[in-house]
Amino acid sequence: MRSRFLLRLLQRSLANRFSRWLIALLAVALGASLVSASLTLATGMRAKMQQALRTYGANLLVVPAAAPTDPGGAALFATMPEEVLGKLNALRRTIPLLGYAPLLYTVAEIGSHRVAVVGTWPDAMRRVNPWWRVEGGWIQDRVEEAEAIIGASVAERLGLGVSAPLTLSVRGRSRTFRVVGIVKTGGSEDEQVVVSLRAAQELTDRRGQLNLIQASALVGDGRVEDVAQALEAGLPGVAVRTQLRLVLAEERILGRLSLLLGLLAGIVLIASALSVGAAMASSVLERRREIGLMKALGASRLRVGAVFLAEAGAIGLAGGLLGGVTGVGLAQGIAHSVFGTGVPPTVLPPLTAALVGAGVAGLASLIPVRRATAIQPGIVLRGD
Amino acid sequence: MHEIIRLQSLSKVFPGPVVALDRVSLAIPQGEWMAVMGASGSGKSTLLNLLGCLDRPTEGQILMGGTSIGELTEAQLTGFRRETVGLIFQQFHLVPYLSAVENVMLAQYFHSLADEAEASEALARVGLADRLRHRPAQLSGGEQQRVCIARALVNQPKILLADEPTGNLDEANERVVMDIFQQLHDDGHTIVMVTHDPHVGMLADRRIELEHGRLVTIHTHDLVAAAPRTADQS
Repeated sequence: MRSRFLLRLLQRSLANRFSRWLIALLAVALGASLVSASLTLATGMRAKMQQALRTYGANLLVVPAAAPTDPGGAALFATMPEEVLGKLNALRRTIPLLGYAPLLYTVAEIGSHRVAVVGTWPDAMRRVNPWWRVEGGWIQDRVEEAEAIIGASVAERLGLGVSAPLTLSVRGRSRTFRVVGIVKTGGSEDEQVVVSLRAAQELTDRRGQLNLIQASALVGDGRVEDVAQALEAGLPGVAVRTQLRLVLAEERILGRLSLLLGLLAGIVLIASALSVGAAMASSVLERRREIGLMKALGASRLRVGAVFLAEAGAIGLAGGLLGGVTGVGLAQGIAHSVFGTGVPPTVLPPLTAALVGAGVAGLASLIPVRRATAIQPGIVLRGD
Repeated sequence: MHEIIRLQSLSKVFPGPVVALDRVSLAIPQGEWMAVMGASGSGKSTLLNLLGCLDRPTEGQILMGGTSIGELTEAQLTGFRRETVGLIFQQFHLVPYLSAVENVMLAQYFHSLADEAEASEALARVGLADRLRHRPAQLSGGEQQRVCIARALVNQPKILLADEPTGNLDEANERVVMDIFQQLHDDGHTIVMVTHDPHVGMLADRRIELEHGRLVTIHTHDLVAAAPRTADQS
């Protein structure tokens, strides 16, 4: 009953001074929108990146122990036995691996040109790199030894198209392939020739050998490093590296963006606190007699303070909710323009922003409310 | 009748110094209607503020129902005021954005629990049953004063303190309001009313006159007596 009348009192009082509170409410909404946008981006984009990592490609590299991770590095040609693949497959029972593709690298000559050649399981390569755009088709299967996919740059440089013959020579050993597809990724693949693992092993005379394995693990909420450690423990003689450059770059952008938004939110929240504080100070000044009356009617300092803090809290909450919802929209806009994707909206950021709004408004009102509670009814109610 | 208020050599000095009340001693029996009269600046409102626990005396003692209110802490004083006193103001002091019934409920809210039915009944008692939802600006001065009276009565205080309750009213409204006070008096309420209007003062059981903060005359109906001089006053 008591709280119902307090709500009625708040409703009447705020409606009576709505125009005066509007600026403060909008100021809180602005600060809250930045808080909400920042939180939505931080949580939503991280989840999105995890998802992207799971969907779009390998996030782990299994390499011979002490080998560098850079596919262009000279020491890349360190090899490990193909049996690792069997052990890796066995580990799938305990480690959430979505897929993996073995790779064997070499440099081959095509006439006077030198190109990087990678031998792999075509079907597995396709699964861990689903975004590859291949004009033409893929190599039929893992045992196919006469088909090749060439990178777009190689095709352009050598004037090769689909169905063209291609002869690769490595240290005097030559094999002729038929170009079945041209791959364009915008990355290093454009400079490579892809053949089956078996064909590459034959060409380089390294039967049963691999340079590395690209693996895609389902990370979920956990850390990819934990999966890497688990793999290393189960695969003696190999090292497992995380391939997080892209994600880290995006995380860096996200981190800076969140920091920027957070700083901006902080500054705007300080400004909105000043606005609420000023509105409350003016309200207390205008309502001196009303406060005096409340005290004359027997209201304790605490009850008078509660009435005014509830008003500030209501303004803060309303502004916070408005800003919280706006912030989710703002986050969508930022995510689209910076990352080219949307973020899944969640309830927590706008709710947090609303609470932050209410808290800021309440804190900003403490000094004027303290003044209100110190008003002496005998003085302010004295007849004119 | 046993006394409900006793003032013992009560003084109030404001910074300046301005002596607003000077060693006033007085006893008010329960159920009495007492009018406090005097010229402007004689200390009437100061006396009422002290009785209403809105201010503290500089010297002397106020005993209300046996409690020495000068010894109470601020919180205790607020609680005592809430339980003991009903205040009626010349300026009405109604909250402009609340309806008549909500203004009465405000007093209930700060006392204990807001009860709309009870607040409506208090307004009906002062003839405002059809004005419950009206805001102060939609009410006449007399009606506003009656809302103020209903607000003062709703928590059933032991003492009603009225500061020039008819000061802002026309003659017709003054009559209506004074009829209500007469009724309250007949019902046994203790009333202390500050007024400068002799006609209003004549309705009281007793009139006291203040002059420069000193109690100079006590009128009991047609009997006029000099104020009993205490040892402090002599």
